[in-house]
Amino acid sequence: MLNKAIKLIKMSADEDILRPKPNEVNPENSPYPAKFINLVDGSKMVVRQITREETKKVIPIFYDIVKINKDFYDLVGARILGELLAYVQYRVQDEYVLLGQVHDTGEVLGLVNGYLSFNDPKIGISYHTMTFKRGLRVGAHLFVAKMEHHLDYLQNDEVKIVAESHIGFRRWMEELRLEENFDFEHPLGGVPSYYLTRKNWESYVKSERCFGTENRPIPEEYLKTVRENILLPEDVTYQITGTPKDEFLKGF
Amino acid sequence: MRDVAIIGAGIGSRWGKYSGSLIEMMAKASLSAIDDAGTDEIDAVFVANMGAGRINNQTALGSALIDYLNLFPAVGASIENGPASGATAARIGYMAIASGVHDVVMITGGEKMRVAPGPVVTDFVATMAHPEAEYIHGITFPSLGAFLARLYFEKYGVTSEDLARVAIKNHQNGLKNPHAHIQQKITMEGILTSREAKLNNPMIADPLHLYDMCPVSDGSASLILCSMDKVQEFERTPIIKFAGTGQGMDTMAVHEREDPTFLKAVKIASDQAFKMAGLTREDIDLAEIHDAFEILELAELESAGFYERGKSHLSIREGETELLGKFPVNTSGGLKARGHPVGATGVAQLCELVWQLRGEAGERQVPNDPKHGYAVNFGGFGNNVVSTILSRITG
Repeated sequence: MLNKAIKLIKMSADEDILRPKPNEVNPENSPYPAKFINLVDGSKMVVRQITREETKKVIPIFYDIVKINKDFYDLVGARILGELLAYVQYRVQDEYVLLGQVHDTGEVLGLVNGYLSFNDPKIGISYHTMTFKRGLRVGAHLFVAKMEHHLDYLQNDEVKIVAESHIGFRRWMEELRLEENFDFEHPLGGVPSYYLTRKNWESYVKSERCFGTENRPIPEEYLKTVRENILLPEDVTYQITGTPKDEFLKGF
Repeated sequence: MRDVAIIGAGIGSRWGKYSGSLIEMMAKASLSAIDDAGTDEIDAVFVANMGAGRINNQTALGSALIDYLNLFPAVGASIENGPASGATAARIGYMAIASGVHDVVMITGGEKMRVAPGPVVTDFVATMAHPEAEYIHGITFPSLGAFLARLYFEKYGVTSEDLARVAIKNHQNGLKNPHAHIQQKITMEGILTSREAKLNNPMIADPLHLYDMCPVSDGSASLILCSMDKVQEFERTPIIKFAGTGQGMDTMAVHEREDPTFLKAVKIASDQAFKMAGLTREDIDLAEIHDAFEILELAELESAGFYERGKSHLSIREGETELLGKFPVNTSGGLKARGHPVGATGVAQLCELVWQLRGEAGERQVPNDPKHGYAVNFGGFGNNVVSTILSRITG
């Protein structure tokens, strides 16, 4: 159905207007170089930028996540679903998606995404961070990888960030000591925006929080495994909530 | 004094975060123990809980549980003794039967802590500290654990690697316990030696990292105790004897202790329990130790007399306390992995001993037919401690 929709849009005469024009530096011509990070359980998490075709394989998991009314998974899941659909259908300026996967199985552990401002290519906009397997600090690593992408590879000078969940607020705004940027109206709306500046990135965030940079380039067999196996959790509801999907959804 | 047996043990649901009510959660554990015992003819119910009045806005839990389960005409009460509430309730249950006041007693421990934000829970736990000498100065229990660890590091050469070894062992055991809150493998590289460990396992209270301390959990556990002279009526074999119980006290303020690395209350409680059971340390086949902080597993093993002072960390280096080691410790995963809903912990420790002594512990069953198990339930920061010894007498 998704493929059919894309086909129809591509056939439209308005597509040229509807599809944003890439900035000079963008995720397509300056992609995030894959790295791997050692996790608490001894596994290695490959962090890499995925293509639109690969993103289509991740999207189905969000139809389950939007039903998880815990820790704002439903709200954030619904938004990511929209963002990913917009990405694969070229409806966001310079969007990218980074995926965290176990190096030898391809198991998907988490996802982050963001995009670039078309008004000011020096501004990066952080969309979302979501962990599918909790307790491994996956989200903490992936969020910083996203900052690394914006500030080291996409040549932004600052990244605008908001949080919908309390966990997100504690992890990003408090732990990373982000600065207030309340005047900025973040596209996720409503809540006050914060930002990570290049100065703070270079003075402490990168050195204290950004890991796996020495693991580049990653071994070819890791890349091959994770590209060939985008392994979604069998029951993401269980992984996130500790309750099997059928039981969790009783009365949904 | 009559002898006392344990004829039922139950943990209703996996620990962690429970979405229902506190009483519902405790009822699940109680029903599981009742099923295990094969009787609901209970004379008295003692509920172990530390903070429901503060965190869950509910008191008189003994009455509430009896009403919820319709256990009338059973009588009941709540027992609060900090994190040692569980073993204290079991001890009181033992005394109620041994004295001849009751024949069958249910002990249910439960705590629903995850409704409160982290700082509130940390403060709630800190209320156990000395009010004038510690609490008002901002002492928290992680900071007390850190002080103890620092002293151990300096005095006995214990290292962060030793604490990580304890955590890795307990997580490994927790993976085999379906009730455990944390079912997560951890490795030395992942939590300590890799660069990423700095983020994976952040420092909480120097020198203690995240994985050096237990999680905040919801959970419940239950036991059915019965007079030994009535035990044949229930056909629950093998029979587990409540063989020994002891309770010891120490100063509330840790700095007032002559040697803070020696947990005097643990020694007193243990000596009493061993004397009552007529056993020696060498007779014990496995132990459940109150590892709210991993340093406590080492310190309690020494103060209880299982290892010389300052030597227990050598045992973890040798793998002695692993599941298949010479002296398995915290086969349940301990507080570190099974979790620590404070009022339930002491009861769950005894549930684990019951299952191990019966040979019903599944994947985490210790080999070689264990006969005697020891537990220590640590209240305050070691100012009020209860030790228990259970023995298998048939089967």
